[in-house]
Amino acid sequence: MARRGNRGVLLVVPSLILIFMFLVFPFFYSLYYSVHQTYFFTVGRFSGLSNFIEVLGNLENIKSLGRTLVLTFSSAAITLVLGILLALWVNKKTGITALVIQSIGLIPWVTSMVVGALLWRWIFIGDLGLFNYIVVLLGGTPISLLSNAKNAMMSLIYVVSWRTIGYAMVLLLAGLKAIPEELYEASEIDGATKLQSLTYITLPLLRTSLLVTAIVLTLSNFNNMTVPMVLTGGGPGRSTNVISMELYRQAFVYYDFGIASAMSSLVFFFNTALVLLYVRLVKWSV
Amino acid sequence: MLDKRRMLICFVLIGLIMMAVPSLAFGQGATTIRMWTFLNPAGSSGREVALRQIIENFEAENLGIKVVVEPQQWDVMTSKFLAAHQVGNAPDICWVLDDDLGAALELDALADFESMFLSEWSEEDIQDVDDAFWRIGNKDGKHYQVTLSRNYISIIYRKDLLETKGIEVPIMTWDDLIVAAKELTEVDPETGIMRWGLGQAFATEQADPPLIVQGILNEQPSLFAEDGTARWSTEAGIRALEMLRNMILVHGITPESAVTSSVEDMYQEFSAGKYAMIIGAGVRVESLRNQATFDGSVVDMMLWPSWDGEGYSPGAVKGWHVGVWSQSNHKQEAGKFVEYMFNEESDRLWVTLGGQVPVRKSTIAREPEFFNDPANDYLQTMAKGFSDYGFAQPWEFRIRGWKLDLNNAVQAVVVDGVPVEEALKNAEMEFNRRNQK
Repeated sequence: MARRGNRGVLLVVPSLILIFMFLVFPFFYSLYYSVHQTYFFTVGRFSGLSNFIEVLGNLENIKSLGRTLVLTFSSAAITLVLGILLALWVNKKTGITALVIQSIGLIPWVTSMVVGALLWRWIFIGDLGLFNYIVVLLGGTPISLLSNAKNAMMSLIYVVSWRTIGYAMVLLLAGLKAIPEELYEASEIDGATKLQSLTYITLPLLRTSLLVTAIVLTLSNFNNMTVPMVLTGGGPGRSTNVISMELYRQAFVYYDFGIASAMSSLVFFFNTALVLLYVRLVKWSV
Repeated sequence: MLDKRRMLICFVLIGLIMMAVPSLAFGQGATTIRMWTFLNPAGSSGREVALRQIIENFEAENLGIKVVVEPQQWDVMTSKFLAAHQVGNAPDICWVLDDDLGAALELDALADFESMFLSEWSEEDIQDVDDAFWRIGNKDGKHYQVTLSRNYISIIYRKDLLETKGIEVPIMTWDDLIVAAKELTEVDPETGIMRWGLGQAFATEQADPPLIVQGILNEQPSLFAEDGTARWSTEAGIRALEMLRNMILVHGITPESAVTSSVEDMYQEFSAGKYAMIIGAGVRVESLRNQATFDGSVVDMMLWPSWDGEGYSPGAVKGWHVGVWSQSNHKQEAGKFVEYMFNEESDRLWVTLGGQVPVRKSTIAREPEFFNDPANDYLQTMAKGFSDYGFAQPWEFRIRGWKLDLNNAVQAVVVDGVPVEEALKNAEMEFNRRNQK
């Protein structure tokens, strides 16, 4: 028995080493940087919480966080709603039809984020993009999508949602498949309408899948830097400058690792709080 | 049994020795130098072709040294180099961005040329290269860099379009520039796409100095105070930024999409025919001519206009400061290659193949036909800019990110409607905070 336990530990040790090397150790090293003045990789004097105070005291960082929350929850909501609708539709299909629809739905998810964002950038770009070409063809006037602050945020929300709808569809479809068919049959016999079946059977039994999908989408959207970087670059102005972009800029453009580490620590704690909140919600509902 | 075991051990030892000897022999003979630059020797632009030829020539004359180029993205390469210096795995040679030369010297990332080759130079050799660029970064009488790919940021334009509209070059005042750009802003009758009079780029990635720099320098000697703090929210700065804002929002000569365009986007769009004029780098003229979808020979360069038309506004004088990593294990070999990159033959290649301004004064005398060719007039414009209308950014203090901060100010004014003075003050504060002033 003890030998089996030792063997199990030995099998897990390589993974633990990798986790320690690439997650745990960098996390604590980042915390070390966050409490020091830094210049490139030169660690200066101990500065306590001054980096954190500077990050939280900078109004632009607070605004970045606000934009990030808008992007995160708007995209997640759109993705969940459209994901459910697609999942419900696909759930009715069988065989090749279901397979084809799922495959098409997953294309945005499996496409490289950079490629997808670049594709949409060139579609949305002012006077040379496909979007305005079609608008003009239909008799309209060109719309500034990426150089107008409001439109740029909406374009960003759209692209982030576009990317994750297929993924949400697949997760929710799995949840739908787990609902016993007998419940629908029983409700039909009792005279329930389709809407009533959806409201009283489907959605309640799909709650766990919905919450898990929501957690994944929220964390993914909150920490997404690639799409904002490629699609809008944080602009125009700072209208799409989300927190992940600001963090990247501090670390890899300005090489101010003290500030960047403080920022990343705060983002980490925020992510942790979000996950804990979701886990509590899941536990309450199960 | 024992004999068989001994024989096996002997064979294994012999095999190991046979494997080790060749690698030892090669190890003693060949030295590999790593170089970071934005140029790719496998590329097709003039500068890349020149670099490839220079490396081939060097390796042919120095059989024991191999040069390996690791191309990098230009706007983050120096930051990566400085970070690599800190952790001890930097390349032997790096092309350092002028914004970060001060940081590189402060962190002692570069080795002095005197310890490698310069102490053996004659006075005549030194005079051939001695100019303002050569003196950049000199500390305690020692030289730490040579400036290659010398650059002048000014107005690149299409001769054919200006001639069609009867616009005389050079344009002498800012008002004349706006009038000219307005005339040039129209739907291109041949391609059907909207062509703008003046292309600019204000993205904070891959940023070049924005036009307001010239407006400021036209009225004050520097963008920075003597202590290195930013001096942008002055009367000159406010006037310049107001002019720039009006170019976009009032006169409509620059599209609003410029706020999210990087300089690379702008160059591509110019080549595609979207702009009649752009704020561009002289070193790009050759590649723009090659990439143009129109007749590339019409691409040329002019100096900056001024407020009163008496002379020209100073333009940003830039270049890439090539140096040897101070902790390189192959310092002498790396120094040898750096020296080779600006010897007489290499300088000739940079000029004739790469379309670059020469490092050596003697190159101009040796290539009279090249410099007198009207197609290379832009090099004369650059040379005039260097000598009479140039602003070289300071290296004595940290100025990291100043172009990004000025672009942020432009974006704040154009996109968010922030008052001009407030936007410039905010840019100053951010610059001073980040550079610890």
